[in-house]
Amino acid sequence: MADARIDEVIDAVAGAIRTWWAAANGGALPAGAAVLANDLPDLNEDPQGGDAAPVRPVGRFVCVLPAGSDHVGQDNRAEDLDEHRVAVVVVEWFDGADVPDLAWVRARRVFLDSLWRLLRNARAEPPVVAGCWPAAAAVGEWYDPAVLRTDRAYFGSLVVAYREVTENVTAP
Amino acid sequence: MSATPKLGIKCKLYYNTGSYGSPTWVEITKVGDAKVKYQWKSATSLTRETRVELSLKTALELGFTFTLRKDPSDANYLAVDNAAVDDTVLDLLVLDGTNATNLSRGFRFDAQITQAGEDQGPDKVVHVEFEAVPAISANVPQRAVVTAGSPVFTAL
Repeated sequence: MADARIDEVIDAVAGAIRTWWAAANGGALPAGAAVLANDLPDLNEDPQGGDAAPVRPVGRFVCVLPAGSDHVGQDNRAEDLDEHRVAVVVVEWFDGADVPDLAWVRARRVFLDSLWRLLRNARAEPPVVAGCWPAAAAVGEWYDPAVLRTDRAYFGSLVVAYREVTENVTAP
Repeated sequence: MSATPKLGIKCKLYYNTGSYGSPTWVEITKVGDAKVKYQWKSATSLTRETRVELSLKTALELGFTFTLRKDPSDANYLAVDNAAVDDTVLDLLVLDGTNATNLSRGFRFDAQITQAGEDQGPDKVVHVEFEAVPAISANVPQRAVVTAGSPVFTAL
């Protein structure tokens, strides 16, 4: 059975991020890093503690999640204009004992900024998502100060809206 | 209960890939905005019998303007786009429903594409605007009304 279109978009975005990130890091993702499609690490992971306490994940997570779809309208008599939105969340726990300093946060913002520019680029050839173009891309959160203080983690997010002209296929 | 209103999205544009007498109607599907215009010219007469200016219809201006989503991989799009840059005459059937749905109405005429243009703005999906006008040919334009599942043509 074919995937829902939103899942194809999510997989394409996650793949583009992996390719871009690996190319910027000598051909492989950094140690502990992961790009997750349709998944999010547990933000309530306990800090390092005794033998029974779970270990805080090490490394940067980029999570690609569905954020809604719209039927924008009819483009022509044969095709519709659809929009699929994906949320991209960057999560990384600080591996020190204290609250991380601003320099640590700003370095993660640079990464989020680069992701934003990668995914919003309508000039990319081939496009990030085959058959689609980015219609809008907004950074929702450059960082969450509450998560930073209580969980000692960086949390940033953006939403990208991809549009496509598509025939209205209804077969399951 | 009144009939279902005619919807623009369900109107049809066909072109003939067969002979005029035995047409093969192929639908041009990626039509966006479209307008059929049929407007009469008239000749006026002013005499002393009345101060009202009177007129009679003389010639009918028939035209069809439409947009197509630009798709060079679509042979039907290419048929129109190529006709915009040469003297090709297309046998067009313009209907407000399918050519098999009774009571669909419209026109059939040999047409030349006399105008084309496209907005290539950075935020646009490119659609090409075309204008089709009746051409001098061996076949006069016709009114088309679908009856018993097939178009019936009446010369204008």
